[in-house]
Amino acid sequence: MSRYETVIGLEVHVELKTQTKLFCRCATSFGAQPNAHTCPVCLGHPGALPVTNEQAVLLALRAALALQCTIPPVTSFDRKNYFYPDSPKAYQISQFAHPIGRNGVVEVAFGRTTERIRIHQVHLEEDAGKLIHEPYRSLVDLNRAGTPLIEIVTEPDLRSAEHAKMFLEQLRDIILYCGVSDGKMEEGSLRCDANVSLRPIGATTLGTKTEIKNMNSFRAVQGGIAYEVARQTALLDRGERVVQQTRRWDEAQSITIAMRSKEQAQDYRYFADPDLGGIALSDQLITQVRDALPELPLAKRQRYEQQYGLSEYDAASLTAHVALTKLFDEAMAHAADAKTVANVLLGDVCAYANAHDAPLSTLPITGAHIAQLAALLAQGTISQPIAKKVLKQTLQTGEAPNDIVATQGLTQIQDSDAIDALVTQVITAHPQSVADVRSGKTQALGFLVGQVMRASQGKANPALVNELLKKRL
Amino acid sequence: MHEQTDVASHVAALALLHLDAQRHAALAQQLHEIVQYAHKLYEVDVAHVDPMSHGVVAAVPWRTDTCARDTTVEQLLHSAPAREGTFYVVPPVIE
Repeated sequence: MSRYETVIGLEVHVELKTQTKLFCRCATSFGAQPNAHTCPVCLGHPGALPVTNEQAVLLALRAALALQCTIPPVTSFDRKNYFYPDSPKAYQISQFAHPIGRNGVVEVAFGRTTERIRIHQVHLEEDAGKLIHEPYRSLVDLNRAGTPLIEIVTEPDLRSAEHAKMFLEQLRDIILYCGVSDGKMEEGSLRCDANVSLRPIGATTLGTKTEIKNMNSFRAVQGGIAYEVARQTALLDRGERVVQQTRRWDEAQSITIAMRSKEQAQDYRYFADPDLGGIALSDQLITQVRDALPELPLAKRQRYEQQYGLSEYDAASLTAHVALTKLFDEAMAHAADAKTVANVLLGDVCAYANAHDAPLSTLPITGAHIAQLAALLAQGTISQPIAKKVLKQTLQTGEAPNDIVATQGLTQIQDSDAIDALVTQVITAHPQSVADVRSGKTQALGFLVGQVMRASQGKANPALVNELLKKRL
Repeated sequence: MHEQTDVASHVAALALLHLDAQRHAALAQQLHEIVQYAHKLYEVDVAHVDPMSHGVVAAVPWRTDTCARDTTVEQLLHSAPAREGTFYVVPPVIE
């Protein structure tokens, strides 16, 4: 049992899903030729003036409202000054005095308990360019310079590396649900720095913190923080003190490495950007954006459990992906059986998407298709094996299950006489298995059931096959 | 004044500017005067005044989120001190 309490605050950078940069008309798309997406504005040429992208402000406002922030009547931009070749203007346009959102909160599920993690602020800013370091020179690509970001700063409310990871995953889900960003950590559109400190259990003042950077995956966030907690615990146990510094997570070695101490920290000399006036956020605009917010992941998950009686696991699995909940909600709008729909989506549909490395949103299946399939199963029109076959075809072609069943004559055989005739054929063809069953080897029964199903091309009602076989043996 | 001489050297180093002694002294003197003027401004009590950057608040034009290009990569790279393909090349910087 540790003598210390861990205190963690996160700073999360989220790239906004816009077509163009924050202050110019350059494209934000990924993977272009170096510097192809630049212009005099994002290169900071003298005389070039920034003009704010309306969509970026609206997305930032949507995120701030989803995080239950207080929105100021006027939000404005400030210059954060620093010298580095990834910033051609020698300053970053950010928000300091009047950020777009303050004092928010996120309800986060940690297993069965839900906790409120406070959001200190959400602010809008532009991204920097990319540098490629070579031994005697650095190459500069400014395609990313000026791409709109929001930075979400939490209060120091997280208490373990695992919770920090869970918080970040659920924050990512909120961002995805709101359509604010694509949230891809591996492509850098979601990045996270963590401030970590320890204090004796029961203490109310904060201990000296270190900031960890360069954590590019959820696993890295958990690993980086866990390492830092262990490192600081060892220091304090030896009677040494923690030095306030910025540290870098080294994925390969699974350690954090000191980058710079507080004494080396820069003074950014923030001041209001004279090229950009304040942006009025009227009550009407705020209400309009708030009203258009979708149901957020945790609320949806709780509703799935309460309204449809789904298990915590199924509800959590469905709400972990926006595309899955979209299909589920569409299917349920057709009054389908919730458990069947959840099973189909989490089972065969996810397996198909994984096997073909295809995002769910690109598959030609709709919620109406899933509802049809669930109804066909519930009514006993098709058997489970046929349902799998039909679903596969729908996933490949987008044909409706009802049409597939009708055109291919896949309706389940319920007629006892017809099935009995198949049972007779199978018994005659497999005398050894019949003898095995009669001598008590029950496994052979499964084989015989399989043979009858095969003879019926999967269309026989399996329960009826079982029953008739047992009667004859 | 001595302090501004150090600052002038520091800023010049950051900006990769090579200043001769005469130019350096002139710039340090200018910097000294500017800082003195700023110190004079400190005397004004602005504790309860919001920072102001513009004469008109909240009247800025926005633009729609649509792409457009007025310049080519070649035109923009024309002013590059050094280039490799379409990259800008700068002296090595490792943080």
